[in-house]
Amino acid sequence: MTAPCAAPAFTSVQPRTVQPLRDGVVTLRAARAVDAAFVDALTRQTMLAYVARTWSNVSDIAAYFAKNRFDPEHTEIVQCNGQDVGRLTLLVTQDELFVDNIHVQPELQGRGIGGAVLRHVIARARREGRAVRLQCLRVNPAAKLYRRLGFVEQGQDATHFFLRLPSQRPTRSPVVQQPRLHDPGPRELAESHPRVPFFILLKMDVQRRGLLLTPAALDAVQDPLYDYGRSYVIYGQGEQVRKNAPGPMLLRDGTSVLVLAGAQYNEAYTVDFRDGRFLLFDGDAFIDEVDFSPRPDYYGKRTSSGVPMETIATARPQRLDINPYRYCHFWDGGHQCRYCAYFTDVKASSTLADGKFPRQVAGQDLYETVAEALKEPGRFSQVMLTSGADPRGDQTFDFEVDRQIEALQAIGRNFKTRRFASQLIGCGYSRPQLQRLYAETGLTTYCPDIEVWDPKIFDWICPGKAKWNGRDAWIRSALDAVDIFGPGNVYTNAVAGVELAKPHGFATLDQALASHFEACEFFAKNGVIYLSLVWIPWRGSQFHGQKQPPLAFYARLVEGLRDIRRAYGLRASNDDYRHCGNHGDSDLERVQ
Amino acid sequence: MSFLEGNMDVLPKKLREVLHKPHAIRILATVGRDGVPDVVLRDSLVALDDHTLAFAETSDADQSSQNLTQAIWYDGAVAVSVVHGARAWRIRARPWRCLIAGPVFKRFLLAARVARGPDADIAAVWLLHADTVSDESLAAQLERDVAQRPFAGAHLDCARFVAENA
Repeated sequence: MTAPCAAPAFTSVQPRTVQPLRDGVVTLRAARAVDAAFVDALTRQTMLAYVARTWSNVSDIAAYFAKNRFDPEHTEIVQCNGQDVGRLTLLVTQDELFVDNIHVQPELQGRGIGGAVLRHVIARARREGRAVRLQCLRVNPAAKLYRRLGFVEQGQDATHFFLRLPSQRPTRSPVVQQPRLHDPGPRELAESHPRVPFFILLKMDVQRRGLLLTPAALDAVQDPLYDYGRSYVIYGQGEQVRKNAPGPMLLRDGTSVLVLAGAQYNEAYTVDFRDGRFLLFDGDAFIDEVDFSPRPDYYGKRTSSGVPMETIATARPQRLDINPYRYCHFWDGGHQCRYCAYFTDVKASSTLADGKFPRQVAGQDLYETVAEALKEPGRFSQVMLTSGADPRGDQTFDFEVDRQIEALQAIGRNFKTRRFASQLIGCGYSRPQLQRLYAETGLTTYCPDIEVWDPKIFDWICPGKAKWNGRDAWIRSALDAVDIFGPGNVYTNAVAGVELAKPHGFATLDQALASHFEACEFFAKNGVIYLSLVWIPWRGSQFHGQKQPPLAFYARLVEGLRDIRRAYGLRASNDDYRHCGNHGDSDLERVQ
Repeated sequence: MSFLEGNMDVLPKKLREVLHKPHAIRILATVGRDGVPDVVLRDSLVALDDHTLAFAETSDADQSSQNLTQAIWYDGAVAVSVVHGARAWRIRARPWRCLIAGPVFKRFLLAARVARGPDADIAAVWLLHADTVSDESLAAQLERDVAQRPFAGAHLDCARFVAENA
């Protein structure tokens, strides 16, 4: 808690974005001694007319300006598009923020700059549970602005109104409270990790922390261009509503961010919609303009058996995601991976589907859905299959393999070439099972996810995989697949960060990173691409509520993984920025 | 000017008109991380509005795509030259957005298929925001030169007096 009037209102030296306006970005920077002339001249420019109307005595007027002289300790300079345009002098007490002075150059008044700064102050007060107080000359028309922002009059004297905005304690927290403890964010890390661009750091941080829509953004994604279908969307301050949800978020560089709008993780980012654009905010700070993946043409259509096609295949920007079997048998008896909320998600989504939501998707429905999706020019460049694990069969996973072959054959009927760009995220199949997959389908890429490299932590976090057929068998499956699908066509994913989960995970970030790099090196030597994705302690998983590693961990991780793969001549083009949206390290490989 | 668009220059109306003409020459210059420049023709380049240029890239692996990605990641600039008859413009711009799906992407894809056949494909549509635009037609260059360096630019033989009957 800040001591009364003891510390500067803001201590940042670098300008911080307050709010974007139509005509510019408003930022605040700490005042310096050299700002005295600017601030004092600004006070005269903005206040002289009102002061002269308030007092006729020259000594009173002089006393006013003396009282309101530059106070560097409590003043920040307001900038618009990097130009000094105003000042904010703020005094902080135990219970309130007192706006001692807020001035904007006369020629720039009326453009929302003062309002943006005040909203910034109000937001801070809300976060800190403080009231906001100010006083205003009675002749100053700015009083109207203050009242519009919610200030109420507490009293008045012959010269001033005394206005106050009551304590703004949040009534409901939209997120699980896990303070970030000043972890560096994407912009700071982009400077300390110059080989990892801001966009990729931002993507990983949005995945890590989640995304909320403002009511305006939620309204905007009801547009048919963005409509990915009905879902329960959490927005605003945590309200839940069943509306159309958007698809993956897109950054300006084309990077797709696989994040559920409305997912509540840790201090979620916010997307607002202003002037026809989606704008991403971190708290009050404007980050960048973003977009959402456009709705594919096949959404809203049904197969000949009446199944909504979007329940059969979901669309990423350029990838069709198909889940032919929506049940993970690892959940039977509690053998599911401890970070996984897959089954709970499917259970929830089944209540949303239009009609029945069968475990297994019929081959004809798959064929028709893909056929319809491919009618849209230039939309899809890959088909991805995944499904719940099914260890049943004469040999472990035989049922699952049979099902995948049937699905791939149904999908493959749509293509004039035998092989088509496709990826199967499956269990650790045996060599004969892999040979069948390759021989009987058009599959090009196989991906048995190892999830966690360390043997002990693997057994703890992935009990199903440990039971059926164990870590070594999963690794052997990836290596065998290289003989069949070729080097660079076999992937394995790690849920990066989960190896730090309590109580049996690694104690330090360095240990976790060393484990990832060891795994990547091992797999790369054998022609397998080892990718990372950001661990999210999903609600519904056993790890819900656990603390994620900081973004700096992921910056170091993706940089290291990229370097190792590059050394072995491997490139994760099947899981790149346009297809998957889950892997910062493969996004990095976009530039060679 | 919109807050997100920085200090953009307006694309002149005549330039926007020229960019709708099929025979205008459109050249894109980018630079790689190593400082090596790359120059390509980009026939698909058009003006989307007063500030925005758009064109299709065929492959992510192409050097210009690589350099464009590098530029959008690290706030680098690119250059565009447009020539049509005696008119020419030089544009310095910044990559603003890479589109891999959506209505604008589809428009460029379909145009590519009309031009190059039904199997033609594109990898992305890049949007550029113009930082500066200058008229590079010969007349404009000479006018600028005379205005900036009235006695330094031209060779004196062009200015020599020649008697009528010499």
